[in-house]
Amino acid sequence: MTQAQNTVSVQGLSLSYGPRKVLDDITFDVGRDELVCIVGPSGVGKTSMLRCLAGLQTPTHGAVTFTGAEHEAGHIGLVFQDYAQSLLPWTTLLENVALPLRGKVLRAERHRRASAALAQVGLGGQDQLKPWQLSGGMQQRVAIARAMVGEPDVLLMDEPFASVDAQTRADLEDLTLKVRAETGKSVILITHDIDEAVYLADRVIVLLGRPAKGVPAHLAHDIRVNLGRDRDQISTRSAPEFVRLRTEVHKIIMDQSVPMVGA
Amino acid sequence: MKRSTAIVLQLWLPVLIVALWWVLTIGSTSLFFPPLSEIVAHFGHWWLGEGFVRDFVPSLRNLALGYTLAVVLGIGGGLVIGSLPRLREAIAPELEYARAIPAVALLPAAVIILGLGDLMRVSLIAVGAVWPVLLATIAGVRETMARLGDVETSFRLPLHVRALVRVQGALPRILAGARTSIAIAVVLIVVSEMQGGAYGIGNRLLNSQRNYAISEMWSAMLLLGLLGYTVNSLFLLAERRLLRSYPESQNTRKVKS
Repeated sequence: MTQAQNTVSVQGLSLSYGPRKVLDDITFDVGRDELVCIVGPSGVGKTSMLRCLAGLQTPTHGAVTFTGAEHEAGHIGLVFQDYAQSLLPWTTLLENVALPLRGKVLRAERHRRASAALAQVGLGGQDQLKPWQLSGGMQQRVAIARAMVGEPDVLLMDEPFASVDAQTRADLEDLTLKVRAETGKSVILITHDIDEAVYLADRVIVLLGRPAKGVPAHLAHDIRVNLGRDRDQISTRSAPEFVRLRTEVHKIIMDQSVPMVGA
Repeated sequence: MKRSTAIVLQLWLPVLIVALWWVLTIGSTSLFFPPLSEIVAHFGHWWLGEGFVRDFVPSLRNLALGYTLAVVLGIGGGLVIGSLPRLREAIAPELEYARAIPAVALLPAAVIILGLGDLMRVSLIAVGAVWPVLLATIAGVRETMARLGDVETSFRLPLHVRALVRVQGALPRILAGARTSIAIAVVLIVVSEMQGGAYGIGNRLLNSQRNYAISEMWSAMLLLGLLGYTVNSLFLLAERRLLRSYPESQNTRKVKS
């Protein structure tokens, strides 16, 4: 994969809250249609990094650059952890998904694109329902459709499946792979679930550190996942390569945790 | 069947009170408690006759203008103040102070500054009724931004779309505030007409009392009660329609069915 194919480039990203340094010199690229999962122990600063990528937080040093052209709804489409909080409960699924295009794209075109995005996440023909009429997993599908409707370079997902049951979670993971395959967009997904990271990712980036104890997060490992593009909840998760990788990542995170306890 | 039960449950007490009032005052010679039949006769003669245009219409117009002004200023001001945390913190004590002044106490100042005309009356109603809408909008906009601020920013929504989202998010609170404002506005019609006017329900009420036209006084009070009740009922109807698509309204609907 050459540099020209990157959609997003993170260079020397550092973030401090006052005197406390949270992120230290994080650098990585994400290629076109690549799916990168970011894992790390809880409290390491994964969400702070995501907020920098999403433009919700200005980094203290470094930059996030996108290679693609500017889109109506920005370079990134963000899927929030808490779907129940991030959708507009008072309006229809169609209007929810069309929201990023409001004030930028004419109504008819907006609705056409929103309707297509809903169909892509398996909610075709349900345009007029309200979010609260759906289950949690279905609401998160709406959030994914909303993030994709502006055709961003990168789909950015913050622990997107943390609050749904196991079966729904597997369905949403496969939906994410399907959307990536169909749209060719890059995906950056933050998760605390190592199995999920290895199952989904082309690359797993491991952040280590303990910002609360004065050790800012740094990019410790950037691991390629050679499981091919066709993944399957049962066969992929029992493949020897999958088991080897998840053990490796587990070890990395455990090893860092053990000495830190005494620190 | 269900509908008729609801109507009976709503009406039994007012009907009973009116019936008692009617019966107990039938032969009344008391100056202060004239027979209800006399009050009703006056009501029909004046309020459904000459007084409708002379007194009722101007009061209703002032109420409509003043209240609309209060709601528009309340939502507009609340949206701006709620959206700017710095501004909100800077003027919060002043808002609390201004809200704490009873609107009735503004009458003398309003008369001196704005004179005795309808401008003064409309302004007094607007200034008195603006607070519940304003404070409810500020609170609602704050809550909506806490929830959806990151959504607005990450999708780069233009300013007018953000404003719309915030007002829609705050709507249940805004409507609760607007309902409180109605009660205040009705009080202020009467208060604003107590000085200098030559027409209006409040003016009629005060003059009839001063002239010992007690049946007229009672009939004006009856009218104010009916006006307040009607406006409030209309508001509830509108509120139910506006909040139909909000999840909060679903619980009450389920309980009813």
